[in-house]
Amino acid sequence: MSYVDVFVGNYIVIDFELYDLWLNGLPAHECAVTLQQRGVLQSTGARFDELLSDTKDSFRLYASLEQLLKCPTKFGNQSVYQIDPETQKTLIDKYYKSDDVVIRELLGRKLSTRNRNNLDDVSEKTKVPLRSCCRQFDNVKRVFKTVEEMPGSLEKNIKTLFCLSSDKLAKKYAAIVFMTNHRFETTKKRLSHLTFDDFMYCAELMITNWSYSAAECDNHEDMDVDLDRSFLQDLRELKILTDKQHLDEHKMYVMNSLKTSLIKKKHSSLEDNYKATSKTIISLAYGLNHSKEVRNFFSDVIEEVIEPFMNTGWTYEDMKTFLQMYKDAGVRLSVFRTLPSLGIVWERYMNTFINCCLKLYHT
Amino acid sequence: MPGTLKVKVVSARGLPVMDRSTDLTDAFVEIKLGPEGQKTDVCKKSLNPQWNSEWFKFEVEDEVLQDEPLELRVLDHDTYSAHDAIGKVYIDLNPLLVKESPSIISGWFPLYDTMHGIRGDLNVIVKIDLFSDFNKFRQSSCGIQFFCTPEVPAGYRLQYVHGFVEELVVNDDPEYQWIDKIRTPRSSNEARQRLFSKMSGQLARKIGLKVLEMGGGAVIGYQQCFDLEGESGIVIRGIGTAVTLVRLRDAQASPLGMSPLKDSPLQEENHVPSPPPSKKERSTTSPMKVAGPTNRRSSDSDTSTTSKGILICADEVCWIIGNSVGESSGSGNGSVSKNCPRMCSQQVNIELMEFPLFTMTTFPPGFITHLGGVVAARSVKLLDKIHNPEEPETRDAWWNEIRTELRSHTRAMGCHAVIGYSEQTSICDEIILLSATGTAAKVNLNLDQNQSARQAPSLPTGAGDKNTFLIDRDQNKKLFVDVNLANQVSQKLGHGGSTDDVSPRVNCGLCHIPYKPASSPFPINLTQCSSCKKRFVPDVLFTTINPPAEIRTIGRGAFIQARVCRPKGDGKADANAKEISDILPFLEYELHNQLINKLKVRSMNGLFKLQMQFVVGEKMLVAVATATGAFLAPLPSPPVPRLLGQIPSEEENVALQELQLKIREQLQQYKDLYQLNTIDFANQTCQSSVHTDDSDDDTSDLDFSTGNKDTFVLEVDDTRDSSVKAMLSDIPQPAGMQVCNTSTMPGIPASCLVANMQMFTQVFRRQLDSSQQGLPKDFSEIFDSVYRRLYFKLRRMIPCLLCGLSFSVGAPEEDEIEIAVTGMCVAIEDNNSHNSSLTETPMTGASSKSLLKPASSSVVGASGENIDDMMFTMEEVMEGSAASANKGFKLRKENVKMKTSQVFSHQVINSIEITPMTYVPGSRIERYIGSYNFFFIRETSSLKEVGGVCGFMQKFITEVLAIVRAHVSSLGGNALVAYNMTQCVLLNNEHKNQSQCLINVCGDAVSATKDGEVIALVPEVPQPHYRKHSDSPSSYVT
Repeated sequence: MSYVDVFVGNYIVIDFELYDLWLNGLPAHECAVTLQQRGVLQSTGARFDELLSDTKDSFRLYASLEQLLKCPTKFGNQSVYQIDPETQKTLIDKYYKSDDVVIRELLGRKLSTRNRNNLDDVSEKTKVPLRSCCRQFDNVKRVFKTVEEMPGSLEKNIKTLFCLSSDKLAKKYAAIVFMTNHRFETTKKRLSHLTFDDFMYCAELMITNWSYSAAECDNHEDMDVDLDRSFLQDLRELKILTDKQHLDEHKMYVMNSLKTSLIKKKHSSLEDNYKATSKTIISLAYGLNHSKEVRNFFSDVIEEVIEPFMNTGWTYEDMKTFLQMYKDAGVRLSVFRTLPSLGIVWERYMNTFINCCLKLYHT
Repeated sequence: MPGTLKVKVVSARGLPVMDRSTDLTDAFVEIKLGPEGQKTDVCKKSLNPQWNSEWFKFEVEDEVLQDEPLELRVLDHDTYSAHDAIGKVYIDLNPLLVKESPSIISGWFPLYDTMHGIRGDLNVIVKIDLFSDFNKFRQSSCGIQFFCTPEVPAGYRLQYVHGFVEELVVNDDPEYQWIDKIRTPRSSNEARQRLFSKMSGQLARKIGLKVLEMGGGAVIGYQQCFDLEGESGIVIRGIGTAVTLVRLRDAQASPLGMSPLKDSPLQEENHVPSPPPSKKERSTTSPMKVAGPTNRRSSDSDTSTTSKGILICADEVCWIIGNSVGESSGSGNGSVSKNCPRMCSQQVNIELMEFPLFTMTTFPPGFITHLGGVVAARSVKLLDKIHNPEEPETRDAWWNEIRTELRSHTRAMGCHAVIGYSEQTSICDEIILLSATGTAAKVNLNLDQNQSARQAPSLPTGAGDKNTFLIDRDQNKKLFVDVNLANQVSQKLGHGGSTDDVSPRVNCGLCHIPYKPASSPFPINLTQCSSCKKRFVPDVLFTTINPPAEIRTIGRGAFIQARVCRPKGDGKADANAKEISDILPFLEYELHNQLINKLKVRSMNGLFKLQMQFVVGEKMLVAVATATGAFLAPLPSPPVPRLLGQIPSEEENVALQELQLKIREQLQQYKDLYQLNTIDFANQTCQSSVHTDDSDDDTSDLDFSTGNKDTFVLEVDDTRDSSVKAMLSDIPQPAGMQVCNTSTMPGIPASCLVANMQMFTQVFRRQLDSSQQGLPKDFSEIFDSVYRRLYFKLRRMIPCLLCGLSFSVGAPEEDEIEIAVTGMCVAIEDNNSHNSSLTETPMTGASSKSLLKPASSSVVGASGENIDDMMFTMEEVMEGSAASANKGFKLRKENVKMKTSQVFSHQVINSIEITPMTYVPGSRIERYIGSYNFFFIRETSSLKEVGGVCGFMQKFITEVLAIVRAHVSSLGGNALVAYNMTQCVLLNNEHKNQSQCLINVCGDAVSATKDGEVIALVPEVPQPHYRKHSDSPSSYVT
């Protein structure tokens, strides 16, 4: 048997078909078999032996490139590999590409070594090879560890530190980091129908509107991994809306404006549940001050806001009109006239909340 | 020229973590030149330390500058224990010592550690101030330029060829010193690496001195080899061709007033070959020695060698005449003196040089006048019989002996020079096999003379032979046109790098036999030249050089390889040496047979760049010959191979028929593949006109009726005969991929070579079934695997040309074969329109021309006049072709550039090319910065952890290339041409989880500009462009 069999070029040339298979974590031999089945050999007249040798050779290269891929900024400071920028970009992007299903499973998990060792079930559930799951886990963990403590825009940090070329990928990681940082509970059974896309959407909104990078926030110095502290302080003020007097006023406005757009049955059911619903929405708001409640944000929204409406057969459109009215009516409340700053807080909270709610409102 | 060396250590990046507790490193740098050392401050707790040191100064003799590399060593400071080594940078200072080259080296150098590989980079600036010193007795040779490039470098014109230079340096191998038992592997490796580096510097300096003595200014075709003799030491050998070059750019460059005449002809000739202290005295009987008187020794005698030892000559006869066998006889003696052209003796007299050896493989047009054929000499020696191993005398004597042998073969062939010369060794325990190969030729050294004759057109009339030569050429000219009109075949197009101002002309004279047919030293099949019908040509022509522009070829070239592996006993010392020398002729014969067969089945009649390697293994002998075959128009078209055998049974007969059929099929396939379908036609015209033009010379003496020229008879005893099988069993290259080992492919115009795509190194080692039956099968299987892998790996690059393919075979263990292949994958563009133009100027040649527009156009005109003076007709052709070359040039360039950008936009902008060729397709070599010789040792004691021996090798080769690139870039260059991996020795001990590998690479660092920039840039402007990037060669990411 041959035991030295290497091929080295002056330029690094990547066969991305092979690279994809490597990223999937297939061992060299299986990978070669896969390629053989795809008919790689037919077109070239080569034998399996060459294919396997090529595969092994490439895998060794990828394995040594992995050191750089783990910290892509190193690509700029290295002279060992001569790679053109285009290939480099693709290499990195593909390495950091993740499967939504896998990420969905990873969300809410602690990024501990113990969890990494238990990725078998994730792999089984998602049908994604274990090695690939591990890579994605490691990527998430690495990105998280790198930007966790870093000031400035989360997305931008990720994009530059990991040399990602697509905004989408950077956004995705930003959302993951954000969610991981707040340890949002996503694994509960009642949340199981939600996809990663749902969470990502919400997280993104929260980052743009509730964190330090929001337009309303004056102090951009801080990290947008965290929610804007002064905003959270302000949210406490909203508690005032749960006072009976304001609650009734708010209810009146809402019910009146919904008279035309809602059918009677739904209207009356809302009439009965209004108080509870409104209280929930507002308590969710000031609850954001407590990390434990932040953690349960999604399950609370689902449990206390969405499910009751779902059970009464509300459509997405109904929900949308209601929430819109709810927000608009709030602005007209007398309290806000006396406390104009509160109005801004209300808008800032409600806009994001509504969007999140609607996103999670799967009918 | 003593000088002051100044070094500034700027910073480092990407250092490894040396302190586990802080995850940081306290780094400082030691700077050493020779015994003297200085160091920087410690930069605490940083993986990217910034020193920005002051200038460290070293005041040294130039001898030191030439011999010693600058050594920078980064260490981790440790208060309590010894400092830990991080990595080292060796900087060869020689490029700074040449006037034209950059005066500064600056850039990021990979920090290399022999145990861990590359660990970070170091940013250094090195400057040098030289003082002039006219001391006559100096020991240094600063200012002599070395080129690995085996041809006249682009941008230069060859003024004088002074001849062959050689030197060898011997030293103890640190690995075999007692101290090695107690020191760490790292310090042992470093001691070795330093020694290699120093020896290589010494060698170059000594050769430089010889060149100075001869009055030369540069060495081209410089080859350096390491012989790791083991107990008896390390030998570094250097050979090259001493020349005087003129930079083409400065048109008024006055000829250096050095007449080579006043110098002694050749350093080498002065050595009195002392009788070698070797063992056996016997002349080998080669199987070819069937006919002819065998008084070869007598012919040797007047070159004053007592040929002792075991000298195996590759029967030079074989190499040129194909299937007829013979032995050189003393009769060559007479013909030599008669045939040696008396060159106009004002400048260079070839006779004074006494059979010079030229290491170049590509020559300026007009340099070669006749090609004789391949000559080779081999000798087996015993290393443990060297009297005092520390001294070079014994080895000097060995090589002199071999060279003398080679020269005598050359003379027997009626030639007076050896071109494309190279030397090789193979060492196995105490056995060393030395070989020398070259092409016997007649050359015209007075190229420059021809041009100066323009000013003073009084050509010495006494040069009789020269006159015939000119007539010869003249008639070729006529014929050249005829053939072209008649045949409409695609013409053989330019080779790389001829920068001479005479545009390549077709000249069949090169193929004509250099001796008179009547006095041919051995029985030989001669035919009349199909081009001029005046002179005689052999059936086949083997050469070790790149295809000269003057020889017209038809169709495409083919990569041809012959390989033989023979088991041998494991005798000791004398018995072993005897056995080896007994087997050698058989190997040689078989190799030759294979080459001939493979050539015939491809309908070809010429071989270029024949490279032969003979390897001594513990239990076997291996011989591999690699070449590029082509159909040479002046030579007769090869006969169709026909099988002939004693047919004992009907079955056998059927089998034979089948085989014959197979050959026929293969023949046709190859004809299609190499576009040789037109040949038969050419052949017929040729045959019919054989006797019509029989006018001059005493040709009628020759008997044409001997031998059947129409068929090539293969005798087979057995239908399973391996030779026939070998002929048919070559792995076909995929469609769209061309393969050759020359620097350009015959039949593919240089303009079709668009861009370099990938320089590759493949190392393949496999175990052999060492049983008698299994060996040949396994052996060929290994090569097949190598090809298959190569083709498969590069399948995505199609359409492409694999050129400069070089094989290096080794037998590292008893039952193992190692093959290292390097080559270049060049993108080709099928451009049919090129067939129409007669003259294709090669890339480098053409570009240098464009560079010098004012200067060169006058030269072109002048050369036209030159022809006018000497020839009767044909000036239209000359001028026409020259003009068309000039006119079409810019247009084509633009064309190429556009396509390049389309196809290869993906390539790195600041990339550093490494290529075994002497040119960079699609680019023009601006200047040569310095030749580099790198020697690396890498060892690991955790083989499994680095991915096994494959992972280890892959990483190591990658690192070697990275370091090479960094050095090129630090000099302001962007390519390394004439790259060669001269040595790759892998010692593997999987049980101990250890591996060690030695790699030696060399090449010429150059600065080249893309053709696109040619139009944009004024050539006179210096190139700050690359300088700027050299500081950050790989900053792809912001």
